Amino acid sequence: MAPHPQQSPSLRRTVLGRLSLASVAGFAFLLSACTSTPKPTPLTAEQRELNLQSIDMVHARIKQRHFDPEKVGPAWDAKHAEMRVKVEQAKSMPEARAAMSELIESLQQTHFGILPADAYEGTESEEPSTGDKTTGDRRASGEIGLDLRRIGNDAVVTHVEPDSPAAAAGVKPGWAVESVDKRKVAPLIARIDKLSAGKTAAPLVAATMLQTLAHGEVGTPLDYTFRADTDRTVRVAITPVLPIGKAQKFGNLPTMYLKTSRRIVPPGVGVFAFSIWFDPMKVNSELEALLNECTDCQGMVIDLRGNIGGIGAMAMGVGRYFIDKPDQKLGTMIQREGKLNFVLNPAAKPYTKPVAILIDEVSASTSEIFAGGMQDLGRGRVFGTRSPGAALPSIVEILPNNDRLHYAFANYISFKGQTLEGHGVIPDEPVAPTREALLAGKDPVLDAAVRWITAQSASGSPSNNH
Amino acid sequence: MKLSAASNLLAKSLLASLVLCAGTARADEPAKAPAAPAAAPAAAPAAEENLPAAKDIYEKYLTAIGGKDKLKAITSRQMVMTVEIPAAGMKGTVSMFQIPPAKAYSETDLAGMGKFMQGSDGEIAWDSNPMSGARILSGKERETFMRGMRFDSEWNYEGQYKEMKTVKTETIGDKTAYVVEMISNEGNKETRLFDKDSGLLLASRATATTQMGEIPTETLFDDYREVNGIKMSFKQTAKMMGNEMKTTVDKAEFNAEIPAAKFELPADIKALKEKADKPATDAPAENPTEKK
Repeated sequence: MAPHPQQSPSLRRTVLGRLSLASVAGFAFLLSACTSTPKPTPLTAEQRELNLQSIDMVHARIKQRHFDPEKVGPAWDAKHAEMRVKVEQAKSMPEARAAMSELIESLQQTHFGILPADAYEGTESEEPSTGDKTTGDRRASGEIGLDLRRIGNDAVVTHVEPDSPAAAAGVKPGWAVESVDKRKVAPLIARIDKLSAGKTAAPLVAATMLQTLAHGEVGTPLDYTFRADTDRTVRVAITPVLPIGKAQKFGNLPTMYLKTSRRIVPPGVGVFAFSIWFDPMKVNSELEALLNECTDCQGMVIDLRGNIGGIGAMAMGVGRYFIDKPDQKLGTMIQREGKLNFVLNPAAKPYTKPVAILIDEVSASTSEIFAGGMQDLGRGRVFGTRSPGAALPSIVEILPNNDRLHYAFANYISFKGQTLEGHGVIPDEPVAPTREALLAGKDPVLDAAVRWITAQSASGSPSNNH
Repeated sequence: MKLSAASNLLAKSLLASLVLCAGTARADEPAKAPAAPAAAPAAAPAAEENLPAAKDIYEKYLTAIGGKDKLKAITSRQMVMTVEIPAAGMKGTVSMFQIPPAKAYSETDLAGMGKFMQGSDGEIAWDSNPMSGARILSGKERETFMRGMRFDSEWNYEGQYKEMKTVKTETIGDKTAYVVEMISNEGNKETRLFDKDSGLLLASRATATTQMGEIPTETLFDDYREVNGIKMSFKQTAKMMGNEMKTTVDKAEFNAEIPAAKFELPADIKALKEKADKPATDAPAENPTEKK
């Protein structure tokens, strides 16, 4: 029998990779608590020493660079001393990492975390997946090509990737996952609630953990049971393939995968979606193509649902297409050494018609910087559910034990002065998807945005977003 | 162009663009009225007893890197460099071309980021990358950029800085350096540290003016080698906003022929210039984004 997704080490690699940008505090620890891993190998004296060097580097680096010196004062030093003892006494890498994660988690902020070295194994393929399970690195964890969100007490399919294994299996939006390889999902949801309760950016943590149900070992079928339309039960085996999208290798981050889509929906609204803020050339060119195809459109939708962030500066790169005046900014990054403004330079042919931005509880980091800034500028009306409030500029460094330290070095304030961290972006029009609407083939969030754009067009106020 | 600081301008913009998640920039401040051309730097007395005059230190430096005559005779320079931000695990390559007095073109390619281009046709300074788009530099940012790109700024320091003074000595690694404070004609302060023994430039400190804000920068210069009779630093480390960027010169050549087309304005910059040159009556009467 195939390993349950919650038990797959490779699954953990993928999820950590997917989440590394948001790097929710303590997430690695949470996830390991949610999975049963093989018996860990005892540490050698050398590994123990490297772990001690690593926790010292974690302490020193964050103390040196945290944007709020008060956060890393005597209490931070004391916690380091306490956790250093635990690292010294740790009998395995997971124990050592747990102690380091506990130190980091004491900050109670996003974008701080330990990424295990094994999260980088088998994720180095630079080739986009063709969906062919027989090619590529089979050690790499795979996906079946659907997005899941918590709706009520269900894990509901909100999006099925075209040409994916899930699409081939006939899975539809609105279906609820009941079990994977005969393991019931309901207890997992309850456990996620318990583990994520009270955590920083808990909705993001929970949503990302839920998403693990759509991942598994490449080439190994998973037996899914869905509650489909009219509550009939559908049982289907779906085989994960290599991650879908264009592989992105950026600095010390694990390989990430960029998916983009552009389309025009009735009565003439452009919709541009992308999964992560990487590969600015690709994202910019896809957006430019849509703007060129959509010159007669009534407006544009930027769909950032499920987009966990990426390169912060790309928010400026995309935002500049929608402003026609210089000297506007999305917000300001504040670090110990000074402040930097996220400035927008108008594109040569700026788009001046209405712009709607779609977000959800997974739209983190750069997605929040973009959505919050455009909202503040009055140049984008935001639809969906509140974003997680995980928006600290950060960096990933390699630790002596070869794990990676993800840490924030700056705070970010939106144009109107709102701290995004811990608050998130509040939609102008809160709209949550419902299972019934998804089953009916509708997308309530997108539909609301299209209605607004159409109304704007009819009222003759092309860019009035409020 | 300051020979020892060949990649420094680029490093500033890149580091701001990449690690700090920000685009390269244009001055936030309005352009200052041009300063009157300075004659010789004011002959400020040394601030501490027994410190040599700043002008003497600078002249020693010019001699150490090959002498004014060789610097004046430069007709072009091209370099290939590797830039690295070790903490972020990022690496890229830079190609840079320059001809006097201030024509320049550089292209930086970083994995996952695309191409960052900067240049000057001698008058118009420009910048283009996927984050900030194409733009023409103006104000203080342009002034700083153009001064940095000027070939004569190294040897013709008397025409570039209105004030220079030696303020103290400082230890850098195992070397002792004279610390010289320099005020440019535009009023920008720069501090340079020259090796007491060899006369070579060991470090510089300044605040970079970018569109995103002011970025205090320290650059360390190391590994001086001779190229066509001129000494230049092959390893530089720029520290700014808590981040560090290393630049290594892989190849450098003086006085080779560079096609003039290399310094022509790119099409998108030309379009921006044409747009800026259009009479104001062509501009839209109202900005619809401001409607409420």
